[in-house]
Amino acid sequence: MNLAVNVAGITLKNPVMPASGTFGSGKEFSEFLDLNRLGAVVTKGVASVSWSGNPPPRCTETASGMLNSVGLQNPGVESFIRNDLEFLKNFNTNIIVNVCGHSISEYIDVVTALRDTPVHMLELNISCPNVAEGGMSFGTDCHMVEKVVSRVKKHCRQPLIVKLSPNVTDICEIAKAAESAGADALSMINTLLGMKIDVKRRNFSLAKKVGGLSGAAIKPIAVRMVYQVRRAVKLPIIGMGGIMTGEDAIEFLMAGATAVAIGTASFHTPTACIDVLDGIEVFMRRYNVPDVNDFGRMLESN
Amino acid sequence: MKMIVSEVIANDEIKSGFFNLLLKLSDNKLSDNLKPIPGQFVNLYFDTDMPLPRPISVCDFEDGVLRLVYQIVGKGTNLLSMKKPGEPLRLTYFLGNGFDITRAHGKILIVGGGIGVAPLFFLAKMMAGNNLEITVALGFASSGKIILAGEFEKLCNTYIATDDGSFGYKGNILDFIRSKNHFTDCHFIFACGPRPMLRALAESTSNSSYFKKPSSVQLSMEEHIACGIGACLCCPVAANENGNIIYRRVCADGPVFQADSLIWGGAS
Repeated sequence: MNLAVNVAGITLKNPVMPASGTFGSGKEFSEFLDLNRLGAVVTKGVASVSWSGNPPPRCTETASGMLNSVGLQNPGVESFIRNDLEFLKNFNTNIIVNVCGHSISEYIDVVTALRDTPVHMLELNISCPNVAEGGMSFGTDCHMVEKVVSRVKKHCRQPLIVKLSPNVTDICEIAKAAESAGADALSMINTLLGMKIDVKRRNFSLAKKVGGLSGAAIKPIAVRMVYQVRRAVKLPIIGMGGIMTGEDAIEFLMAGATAVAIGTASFHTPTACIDVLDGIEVFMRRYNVPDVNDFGRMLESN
Repeated sequence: MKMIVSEVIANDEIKSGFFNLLLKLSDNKLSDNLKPIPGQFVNLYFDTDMPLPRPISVCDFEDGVLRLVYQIVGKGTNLLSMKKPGEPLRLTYFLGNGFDITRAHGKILIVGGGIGVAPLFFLAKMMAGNNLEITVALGFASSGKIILAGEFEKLCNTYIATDDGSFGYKGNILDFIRSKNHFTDCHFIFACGPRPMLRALAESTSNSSYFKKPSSVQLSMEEHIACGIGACLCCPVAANENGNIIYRRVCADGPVFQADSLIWGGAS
């Protein structure tokens, strides 16, 4: 049985990884699961300098989901290299660093600082809905996407994954812009912009009023978008959005994702990444699927 | 930190809206000898339609049996209240940093408000009988919402205040404390309760004429949490670090913080 997949020239021992921002840099979750079993570890967003993040409340539960507005709180790339990377490099897994910035030059500072480190891939965060500058404002306009990706890509030593926002009219156009600008892979979807109002307190549930919706509630949207983008571009796709089980992950693989990321599920079950991986294996054994890459060719009426 | 499926031993309503939950943390897994520190909490998990855990502070722990006292405040605690003996309940334990009682000495004041008194019971129990002069001051909205008072009284000197005066001192617990001369020279103060109570306590221990500088004021803070283990940064509390305001994690850096490290901001 083959579980290995290839994303932009990097071999992952299996297609399962955590989604950026839900897993820290793996240290806390390593008390619950073996990081060596993951196809990759995707870190929280890392900026050129430390970001303080948004005021509380930063999260709230919704029907089969949650809203967050963390705002990419992070200690900056130097601290990341010194502490997080120092920890992560001891594991036999691929390290994918989520890169954030307020401007193109800040993105470039981060990828430049990571050039000579044991990082395997970079994920360009142009889709965070919780920051005023950079983030999603870069990822919702085709010309801007093309500009950011092409300029940052020149400075990258590692393959560049571009993380797409679902908060657009046509995600395929954004995907094409990223592809033509030189992206090596796509990850999708980031969270959907949402809002919750606490009617008893007569106030917004989040301090920033709006936040990113994630969890099982968004899975059908994510699957649909992965399917559409699969047919619009040739780049490998890391699919995510509400994956809670192995069968959820297989849905994304069938829709056209090469790999999958687990986000909100890790809050519900700290071992979720491994549970999903085990679930994929159980499914493959039960339905006699020899290669995890076969799922992408399985849809009968494609 | 560990995750297990515990078994509900009892889940009884001790007062309207307040429940006493006993959970057996399965025996064979307890070979790890993990014991909670007062102020630590557990994450309780429900079905995936409620993806976020419910963090509840440890009220007591003995012989592998975990006691939680909780109030129904929403969907999660309402579901919890329907759990029957024998049912499984998945949880992670023991999370966060508790109260630091290793240096506690002399005159101790424990201040609680509402459901916040639950973790303080375990705190009082762990400190009682160590030649410490412990006083507990608990505030509740009304007599119908007083919990654990009798159990505290068995451990140490206990005072009660209610907002409506239906039992004990009439008014908030800070007003009660300030109405007595007895507490001015407390060395250690521990507290858990509503944010306005904690803020008032922090301010009155740092800059009021009432308290002479206590050695340590430790507050258990609350915030909406997501992972509960320190990874997601969803539960910030504003703190002072070398003159800079930084956000620390309630779940992993706290929930117990030194009062003088916290920044309260405009709204409470």
